[in-house]
Amino acid sequence: MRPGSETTGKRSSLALPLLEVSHLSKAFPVRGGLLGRTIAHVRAVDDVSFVLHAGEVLAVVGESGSGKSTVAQLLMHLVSRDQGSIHLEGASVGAKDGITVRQLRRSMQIVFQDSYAALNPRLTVFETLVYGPRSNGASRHTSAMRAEKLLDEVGLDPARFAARYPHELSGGQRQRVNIARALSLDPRIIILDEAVSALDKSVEAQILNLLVTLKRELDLQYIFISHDLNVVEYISDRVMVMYLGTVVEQAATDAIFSRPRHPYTRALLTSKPTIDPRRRTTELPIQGEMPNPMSPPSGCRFRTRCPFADDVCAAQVPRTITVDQAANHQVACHMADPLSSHSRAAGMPA
Amino acid sequence: MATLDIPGGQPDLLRHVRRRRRGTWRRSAHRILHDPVTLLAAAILLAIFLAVLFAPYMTAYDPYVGSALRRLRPIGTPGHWLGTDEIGRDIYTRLLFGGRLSLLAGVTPVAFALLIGGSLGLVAGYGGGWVNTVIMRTMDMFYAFPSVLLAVAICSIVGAGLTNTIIALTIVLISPIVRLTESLTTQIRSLDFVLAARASGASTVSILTRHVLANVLGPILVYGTSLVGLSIILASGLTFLGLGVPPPEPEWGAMLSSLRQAIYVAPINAALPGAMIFITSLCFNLVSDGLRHALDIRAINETGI
Repeated sequence: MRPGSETTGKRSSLALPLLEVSHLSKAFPVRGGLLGRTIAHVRAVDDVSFVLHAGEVLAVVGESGSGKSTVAQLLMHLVSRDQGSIHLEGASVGAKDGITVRQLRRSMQIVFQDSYAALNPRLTVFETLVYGPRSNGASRHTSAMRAEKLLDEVGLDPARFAARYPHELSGGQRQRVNIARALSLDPRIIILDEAVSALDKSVEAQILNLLVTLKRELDLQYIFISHDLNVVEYISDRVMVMYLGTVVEQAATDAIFSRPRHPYTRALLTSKPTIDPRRRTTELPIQGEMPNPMSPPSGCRFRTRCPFADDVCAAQVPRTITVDQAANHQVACHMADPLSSHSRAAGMPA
Repeated sequence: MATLDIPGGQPDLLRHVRRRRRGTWRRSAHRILHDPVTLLAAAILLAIFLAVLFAPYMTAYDPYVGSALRRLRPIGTPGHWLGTDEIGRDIYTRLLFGGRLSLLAGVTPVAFALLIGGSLGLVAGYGGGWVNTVIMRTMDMFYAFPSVLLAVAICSIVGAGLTNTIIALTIVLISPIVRLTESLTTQIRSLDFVLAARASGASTVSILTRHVLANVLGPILVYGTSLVGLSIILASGLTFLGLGVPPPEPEWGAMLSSLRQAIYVAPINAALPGAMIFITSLCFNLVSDGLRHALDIRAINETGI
């Protein structure tokens, strides 16, 4: 049973989405040679579009190098995007009639994977927590009160932890501080960039429960970046699968886990560890390495590792097809496209 | 680990954190006080500083006036306990007055270089891009010269004298400080806590001082302290070559240079200024090591003092 799933569901398609990301792209220049000229581009994120509705947890999954974290940094405007638009509650970020990056950052915060690197070693927990509000003009007194409340909320006793330095905390405690810091500006969306991946399994469970509680109590939305499909299945309402900078499939969590359409998603689900010994792997695991993002394969980017690759896969970039309206299930694969010339285009199980 | 519980009632978080913060500094001091080597080195430096500062009260002789009748008296001569130099001046007196110029030429260039080099390194490291390229490649040009050669070259262009020595040494010392600051800043600016600070909407100035400088300052100051020793040696070297303070001004390098002629007659006398240079720069290096240890926030707390 996914927490909070009863609050989401059908209403989402009509209401204005909280966050709407369209055609987001970013290419990093690769410099080389004596003069440091740009010799190539790594297309880290290529034409990524998604929406986040109120009350939702959107999971972003994919292998390392699939562009998940770059999406997070683009959303936070820690790196500038080449193309695309980001709308928060209908207001375009960075546009004249929209909202500023600063305003966006008050509504959206990020928690990083490495809990230690994410905390300034010279600042106490208290100083870390008041820094954000103070930078945004809150008074000393207000931010101090707020810091105390935040520590309570993330389950750390203010009297014991406020004066500690990051190295005096355990990994789980540090991640709680990072979550409190993200909450300190009262955001609506929190990006969790592999925020629980580095923790021990037992601590991970505690932090996940904390996140679920906070979401309910504070009316939060999460963008949950992860490669752990078990965790994703537990916490998210929607799942977006990325491969080499592109979105290959996205749908409601149930649809992704019960009826995956893209061969990459199927392979990912196959590699998901299970504790049930009777469940046997029936699909082929993914073969080989991810291609070099500097020169991605033509057509479908997954074709070099896809067991079903056909001529059309090399020739054409697959269209994004909506295969299930109710689950808003979108997939970018020639096999799901009845109009493509792929030999299996009709033969895919529904 | 010190207990953090606050006696009685609801804790006032602000005051509690401040108290603890002071505690960290106190523990840094505590650590220095329990480090006999650093303590001894610091004490020797303090003694040298005080003696040099109050030089006129420490001796009965004039550093410029000698007597041909008592040239090159050995150590332990009554009235001249460190002997006399080649024109009969009291070596103890000249070491005291000479220390003024030597220490000045040792400390000032480092202070200037820290200020200029530190700022340049911070800008280069945090700015990145072409700003970094311009600053760092310029520094590489200076760095390509051996430090002594560069100091000699600058001094021969701008001329001899104390001010010019300080200018020359500042230029020599800037590039290694820029390099260190730049590499530390580059490391720190890509850490997640700086990204988080940017994401929280903090200004660049606030990020630079609160997050970058705070983590860079300790190592740079430690490095700067170790450079004082080098600076004293370089300053003395310049004077030794006749590019520093002109005679008859007392200065350790100049004394070494003039006493060199007497090295076969009175070798111990000739070695005295060199010993002063050696002791002072060694002490600066030892203090620098001690500071690095004491300021390391992790080392302090692991010992649980």
